[in-house]
Amino acid sequence: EYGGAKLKILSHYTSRMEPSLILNEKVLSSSLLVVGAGGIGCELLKNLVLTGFINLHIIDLDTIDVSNLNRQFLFKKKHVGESKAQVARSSALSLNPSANIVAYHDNVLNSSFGLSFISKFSVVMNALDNLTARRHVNRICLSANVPLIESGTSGYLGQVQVFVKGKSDCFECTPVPVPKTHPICTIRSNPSKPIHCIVWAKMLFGRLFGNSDDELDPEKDTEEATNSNEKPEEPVTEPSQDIENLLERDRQVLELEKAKSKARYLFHKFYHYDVLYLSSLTRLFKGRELPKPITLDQILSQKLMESRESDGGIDEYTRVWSIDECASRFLNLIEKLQSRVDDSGPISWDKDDEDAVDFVTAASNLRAHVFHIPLQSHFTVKAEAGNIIPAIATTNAVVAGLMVMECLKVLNSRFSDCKNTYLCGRPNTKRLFLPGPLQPSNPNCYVCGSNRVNLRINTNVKLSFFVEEILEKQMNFITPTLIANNTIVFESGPDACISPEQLDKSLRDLQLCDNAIVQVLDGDTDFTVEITLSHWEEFAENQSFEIVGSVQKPQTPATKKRTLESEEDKVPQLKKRKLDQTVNAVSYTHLTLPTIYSV
Amino acid sequence: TGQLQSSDPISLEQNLTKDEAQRYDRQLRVWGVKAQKRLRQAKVLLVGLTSTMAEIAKNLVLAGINHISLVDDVICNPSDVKQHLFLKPQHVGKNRAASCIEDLQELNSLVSIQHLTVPISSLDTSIIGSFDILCSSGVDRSM
Repeated sequence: EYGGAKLKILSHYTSRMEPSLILNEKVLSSSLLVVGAGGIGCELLKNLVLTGFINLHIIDLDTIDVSNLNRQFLFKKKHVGESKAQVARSSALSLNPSANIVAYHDNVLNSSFGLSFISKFSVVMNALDNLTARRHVNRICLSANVPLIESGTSGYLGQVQVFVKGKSDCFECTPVPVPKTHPICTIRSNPSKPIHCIVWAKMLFGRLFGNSDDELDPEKDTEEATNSNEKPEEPVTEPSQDIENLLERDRQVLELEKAKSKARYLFHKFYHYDVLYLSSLTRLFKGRELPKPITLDQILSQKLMESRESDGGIDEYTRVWSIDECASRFLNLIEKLQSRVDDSGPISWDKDDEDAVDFVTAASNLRAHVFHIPLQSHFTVKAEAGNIIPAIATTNAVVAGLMVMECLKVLNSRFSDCKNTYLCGRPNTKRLFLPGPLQPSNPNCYVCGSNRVNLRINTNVKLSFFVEEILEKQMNFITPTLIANNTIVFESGPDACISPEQLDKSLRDLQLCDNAIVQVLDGDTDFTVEITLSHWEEFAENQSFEIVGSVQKPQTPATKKRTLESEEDKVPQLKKRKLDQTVNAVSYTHLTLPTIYSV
Repeated sequence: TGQLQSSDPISLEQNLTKDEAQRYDRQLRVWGVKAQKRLRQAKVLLVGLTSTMAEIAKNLVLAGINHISLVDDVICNPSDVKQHLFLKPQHVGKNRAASCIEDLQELNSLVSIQHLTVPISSLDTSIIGSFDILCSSGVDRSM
């Protein structure tokens, strides 16, 4: 049944004593789960089928876009719009029609992919592009005791990691850098960089054409927004009478514009009226030029738009539009997008929706012009607004190849041969790969370690804050159930009935004070954490809570000092090791190499 | 026929089309428009369509090179089929290079793909000289 070549490769993964037929058996009988059918997923599915695996399941919530076609090769032009998981399955089947491939056009966070589902697989292989799903799958694999092979790529960089309960760390043992967010007052009142204008324009898009939170609403009276972000120690600046007069007159202009068209009204509101108010808040613009309000007719009359025939090529995306072109497009797009909403309902912003990107480009450039910030091209705005990960076929192909090699070792229980491998962008020695041994668990990891943490928080915060910011955002619970004092304080899911009054109560009101212990469970994952609360009032800037590892004895000053010293001693030694030397020693690679999570 | 066909040369001046901009968007953000234009001029000759070469062909076509010619002496046999990206049961008994053309072309219609029907031994400087790069796999070096 097997070609001679395949037996040769598989025999590499067995000891000389062990016939490679045993691994062949495992390959034939194992059931594998591939999470994600994108860049890595397509390459991985192809590799698995060509290696001889016949029981494969693949999950992906997405549909195919033309921008996928440069690397997600199981998809062709004719498949644009179809389900990735389903098309990946049918293309892969043409490589081996007798394989059993099950495709799920669904979200892996869905409760149907919980503990009982994952337990059926010999190995789970992640080909994801976001942290939330990675962390979630990590937890279920730990509960189910199923080995997890993780991966990520971006441009020329990438990595493969192997996580086996009891033999290695888990995905969450290594802290992940938190993506930087911009302060809301900068977005709303005093942008200084193109990205601030782009984020603002995206919020505006959501407000005008999508389903969005009130919280993110740039249309909300700018006055109210600015005041709510003032530092308590600074005096409230009342707009001077001059400005109040100007604003009063401008409100009349707004009414006139409203009568002409919605688009003209919106232009005047955001780029004239609101700016008039902001420009009076001189304390926000110390050392900078004040924002300058613009009027639509004045901008359009500049006629900077080039009348040359466009060649219809890429320049349309890479050139920077003139300000009057931005204004003109702003008006047209508001009408176009509104009729799309009238036809088929609210629009969710998508980086591959050209109208959506055009709108954000026009709107953010108008704002940038007002605040004396350089204008950006469609091409640049798309990447910034869409968090685009640059991607090529080859990096994904390499990573997927490495994943299958690791999978074979895991199936053969050769855990000491398993490697975490990092791709170098530019090899400075002769290496392209930097492989290292699996890492030991982090004793402070609340996911695979003691499942207990100490949380420093002001117990006057509302239950809703606790659930949304800490349980869901910080600790990645998807459907948390919160139990304390033998009662269910909070639960999620379609059958849950938690009243708004309950959510509005403070932790203290719910008898969750200093030293209270709460248990949090996550849906069908079997993942539980016991949280001991410590009432705390002083935090670092931008923080309102702190998670302090597993519950530990408090350190005496002497112990603390010793720990610090020994850690500092370790690091310089590790850094001195040259790359050519043996990598079987304590691994340093994960400390110094970029790891891609694509978030 | 053995005649070397190549697509019309595309000058570096000529802009990327909107289609190309959309398809290649994610890779333009890795290596830039200029590099993509250079790729769009590249002509590659692949000798020996082994499993490894199938991967190389896939990656080159996806990247958007100008032209790729495939040449092989080997006839597809049954044991090739289950581990080769392009070879299927219906290709058994046919020339390996010829068998790859259809699936390869489906990956990217913008690339010109051709089966060079000459034996490997007849590849001489006049043929090879019209390519930028030659890749070979599973072929005796002396050839």
